[in-house]
Amino acid sequence: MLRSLQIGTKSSRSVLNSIASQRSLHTVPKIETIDELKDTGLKGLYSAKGLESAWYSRAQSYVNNLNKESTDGVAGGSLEDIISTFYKEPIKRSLYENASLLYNTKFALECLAPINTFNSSEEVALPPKATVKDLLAGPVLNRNSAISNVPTNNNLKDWLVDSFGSIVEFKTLLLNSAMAIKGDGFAWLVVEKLVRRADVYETMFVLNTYNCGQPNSNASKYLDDLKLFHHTKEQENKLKDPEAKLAYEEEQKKKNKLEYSFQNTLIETVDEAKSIHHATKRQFVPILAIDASPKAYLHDYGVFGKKQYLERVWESIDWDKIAARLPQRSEKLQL
Amino acid sequence: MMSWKSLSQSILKSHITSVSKRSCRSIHTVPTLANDSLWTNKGIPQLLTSQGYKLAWNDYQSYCATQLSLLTVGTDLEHQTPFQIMLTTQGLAHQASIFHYASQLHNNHFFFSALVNDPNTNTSVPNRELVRKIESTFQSFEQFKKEFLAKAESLNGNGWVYLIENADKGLEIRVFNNEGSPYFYNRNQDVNLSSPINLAEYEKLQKYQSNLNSKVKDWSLPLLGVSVWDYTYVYDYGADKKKEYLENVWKAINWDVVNKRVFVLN
Repeated sequence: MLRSLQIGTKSSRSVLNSIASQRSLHTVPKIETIDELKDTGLKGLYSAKGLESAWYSRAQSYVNNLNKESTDGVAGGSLEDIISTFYKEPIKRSLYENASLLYNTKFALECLAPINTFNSSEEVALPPKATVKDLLAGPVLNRNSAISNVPTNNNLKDWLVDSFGSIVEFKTLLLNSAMAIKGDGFAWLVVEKLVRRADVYETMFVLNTYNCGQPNSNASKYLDDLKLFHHTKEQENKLKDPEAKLAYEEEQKKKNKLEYSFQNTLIETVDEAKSIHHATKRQFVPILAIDASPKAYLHDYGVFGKKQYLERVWESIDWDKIAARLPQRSEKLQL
Repeated sequence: MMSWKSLSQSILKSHITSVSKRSCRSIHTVPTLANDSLWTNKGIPQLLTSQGYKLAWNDYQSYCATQLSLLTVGTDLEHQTPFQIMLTTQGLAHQASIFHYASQLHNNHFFFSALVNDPNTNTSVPNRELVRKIESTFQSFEQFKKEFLAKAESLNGNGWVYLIENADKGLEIRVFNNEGSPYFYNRNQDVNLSSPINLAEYEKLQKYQSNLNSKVKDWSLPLLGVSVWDYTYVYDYGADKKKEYLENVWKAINWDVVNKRVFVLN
């Protein structure tokens, strides 16, 4: 049933594409919950101008770039389609980059709702702009007071506590990860999907992506293939020269000797770690994203205000929406 | 008459005091630009508003300086200038965060110090030697401008665009991601690994790696640097008007400063 539904939407989409390819292909995506706040701003997080800067003008620039690249009609279809098609196409890099950025920015914004929706008569003002002095403030230890805006959905709450220890620890990890991004990027909450006979969803992670990066591992698989291609080419070149061939064989002998030594069990580089990660056939399902780019906070919070901005983002997370994104949690194997 | 010994001791002493005075320098501050008061009041005409200038220079520079002070205080880096810290940490992965702030301080200063006080009255032009070099590398000056701005515009994310004079005194335009720095190939950060890279770029990375292992030096020096960081233009222009910002920067470049950076054989 679900399958046929997907096929149905796909074919109708391709019909739409062929129509759309006649003119401008992409437009700024609609986010219902945000678009109705365009004139007022996202209460407690963004002024109207701040929202314009964090979403509308940005989305417009990504859309412009997408349309510039897709004059030949090659980039029809949804953002997801473009991302999953072009992650291995360096020639069409700009398509991947802009589709990915647009998708991520939209995803992050869709996680948010105005603070304090139940008590809408009360105004939640933006915090006063931080100054250089705020960088010197030590961490505030407030053990007794509970954090606000915690998830209410029991399934989500339990899963977070099982994965990170407690909600406080999760919040700290998530916001600090976002804090550590210095240019463009997103901090994500993801559910790990292990591809076995049936898909297994057991553990949640926090991870960062930089610039136009995606939280799934397709791109790192592409890098692996590139690496393999490069090394095969290099080896072939080496073996052409008899002297180099001899040296190469010596090197291989040495390597074989090391095979059983302790050294070989270490993962030496990020590349190797990624290869191993890829080999285990894991995927990450994004659940929540936080936009860490200065574009998201510069207007309303200033250069020093990233921390205040992230605190307000936490307050604005719509946990019901996040909970609705969760896959069915797999039973943990009891040994 | 002072004996040779006492003289040398007093020289040594004065030298030591001056060194220890300098080594007290542990708090980094924002340098004052020549046009600072003008720009603070009026902004940079046709480029940044006064608020935009405050964010891009005063606030961002003070943000990086404070972060750098916090990260280096009490370490053997604390008496070094941001430029020295940048050079010391450029090959050290575990000090990437320190490198970030040091490199940003230098890049931002390098950028702002090559802008004229008012682009409307900008009469500076590249000197004959520089024009000759540019024309021999990029065909024409127009072509160079086009290429420079196009590369800046196509940068995905934050970064810097530089005109470099390499070891052979040839010119190159290079685009650096984030805090990338022109002084060391390994810190050019000119390959964006979050987007699909091609084989040539992968091989470039491999070459950087082998150069680093065999301690190959980099003699590149920057002539002109332009900021493509959000802190510089997003407040005044919005993310979708990057092209406009870059065009305006071009009109504000002080070529008298750039001319002085070009290598001349005396």
